[in-house]
Amino acid sequence: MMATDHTLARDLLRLLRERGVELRPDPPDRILVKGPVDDDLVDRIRAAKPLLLQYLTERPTWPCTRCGQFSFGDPEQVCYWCRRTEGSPRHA
Amino acid sequence: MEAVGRAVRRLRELLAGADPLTRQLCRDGAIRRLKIVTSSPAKVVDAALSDMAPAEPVLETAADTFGGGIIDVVREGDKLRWLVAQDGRVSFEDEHEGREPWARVGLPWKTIPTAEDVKAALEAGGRAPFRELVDLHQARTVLPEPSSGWAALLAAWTLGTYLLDMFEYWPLLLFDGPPERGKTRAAKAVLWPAFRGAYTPSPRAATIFRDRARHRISLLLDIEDLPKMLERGDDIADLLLCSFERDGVIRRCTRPDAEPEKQIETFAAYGATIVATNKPARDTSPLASRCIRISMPEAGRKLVPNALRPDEALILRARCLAWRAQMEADGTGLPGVDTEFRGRLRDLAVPLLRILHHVSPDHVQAVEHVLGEADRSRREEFATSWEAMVAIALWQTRDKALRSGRAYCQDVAAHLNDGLPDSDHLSAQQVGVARRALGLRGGKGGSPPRAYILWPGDEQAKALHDRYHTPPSPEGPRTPEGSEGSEATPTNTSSSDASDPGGGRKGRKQVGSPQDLHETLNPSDASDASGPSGAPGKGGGGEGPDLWTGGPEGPGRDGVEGWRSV
Repeated sequence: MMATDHTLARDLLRLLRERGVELRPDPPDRILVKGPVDDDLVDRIRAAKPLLLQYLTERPTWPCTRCGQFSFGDPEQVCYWCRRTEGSPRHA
Repeated sequence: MEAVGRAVRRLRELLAGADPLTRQLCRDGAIRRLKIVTSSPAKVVDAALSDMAPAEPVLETAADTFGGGIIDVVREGDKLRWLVAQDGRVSFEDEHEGREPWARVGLPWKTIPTAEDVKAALEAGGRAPFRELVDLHQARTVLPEPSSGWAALLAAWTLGTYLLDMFEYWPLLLFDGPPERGKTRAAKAVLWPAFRGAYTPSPRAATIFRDRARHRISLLLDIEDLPKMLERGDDIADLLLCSFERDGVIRRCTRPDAEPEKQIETFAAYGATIVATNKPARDTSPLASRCIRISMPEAGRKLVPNALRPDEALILRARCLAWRAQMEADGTGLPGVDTEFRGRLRDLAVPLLRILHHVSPDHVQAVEHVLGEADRSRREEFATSWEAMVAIALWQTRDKALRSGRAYCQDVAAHLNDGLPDSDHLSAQQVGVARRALGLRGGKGGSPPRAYILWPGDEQAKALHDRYHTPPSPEGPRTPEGSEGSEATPTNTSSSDASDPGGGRKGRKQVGSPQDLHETLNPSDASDASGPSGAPGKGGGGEGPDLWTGGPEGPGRDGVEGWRSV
């Protein structure tokens, strides 16, 4: 999955979460939706279905940028242990 | 030392603006001259020339001590030389493509054979010392029955440590058993003739990682409580798990203060590893499927000889090296083999069987037998678990399930409990727990609503059945030749990690699926399986709320309301 695809899927999921919509992948080619979802939203989900399915079933992970030992759902994260010993980027 | 410093600085001044070839030649000459006055001349010269434009090609004297034609290091008098096999010939070299042997004190393994012994072995034909290794294991260790099969397996494993580049996977050896069963003794008998065998009773990640990456040492780890170490997930556990696979690497942040791209160092972890432990890995551990487990038997009245010393293995090491070098020089490869084993066991067995087909085809059957028996006993352990019972029952009740695309937990439980005493019965709810652990999808449906397992498809259901089903032994009951009463009793500690909500069910336990099972399943189902299990008493043997729905008839038809398919 390209980084842009990933961002697209992540942003859409965030939007759905904010609106209180639940989403579940139903491989190989279906997605189950629950909650206040209108037709416009359904169209958007349909359009992004392959990306969403891929994101939900093989969610990409990124290692801690300092030690590489812990994985996160977002890139550029620093794990607790590195933050503790080295100071987080925010406090560095 | 001051004079050395002055001389090296002067060299630096003289080489300013010199072409790469001149710089390289001068560097080599300086290293040779400085050998008399310093133990690490290359480092001194490189330090002086480090910030100059790099000479091309860059030659590393402190590079890895294997690969690129280098087979190993041998002794000749007081100095070390490379044993090299390249371009159809075997040679002994002081320097090979700019690489010089490390000082002996820097090498982590003790068994460095002499060039003389290797030459003698080469002149004798460079034959693999398989028979001698088998004899060694039979004479030096009390192995489980059939001991000849295990000895052949260990001999093949030892030879294979010289050929790791030819394989994608190399199995770990796990010697387990209570204290004083001769685990370390047996492990040392395998280790010392193996390629660069290194043993330390107190392993430290920093040294072991580097030794493995730079020298690809064969490693013996004596671990008192293996499950605890794996659970803790420390550095050594990472090495154990990664050493099985050729591309296995471990990344560590060794320089947090450096620029981002230089902070992390990657260590190659692939190599031969032996573990001796009082407590074997749990069946649910990823290590369990990556190792060949040898449960050490009680010696009884057998006389146990002293442990093999490193110096006693030098001749065998020399012969193994000669065999390896000759193979490389001749361009001889190992034959491909086909085996009935499948899954992880196949990955473990194939490299060993390839070696045996090459060096001693007569022993193939014996080794296949011990591997098959070891696998059978592992399956038997699993066969008493809820998961295994449900997986097998699911396939057996497929006629019913195929009609509706669902196997109702109640029906599966009824099939399982048929003919069993009440105390051993599984409830529909427990079937549901096992369903989640198997990574199968389910839901609630029908009238009245009942929990069901969604039919995973014939292929998946058969695969699950075959994974847990223990085929009958071709030889009938397991009574290995001449082993009455002396067969190793596997030390089963897996029950310690089993959580059995049913409690007190004889002979049954809830254990996780084998690690590699989940690798073939939907990862999102796996997360379902990791949820709280065994929530008791949800209406009529149900299994708690399950957000998954949507059988073949489509979602929202019955059971869970409100889901819409997109």
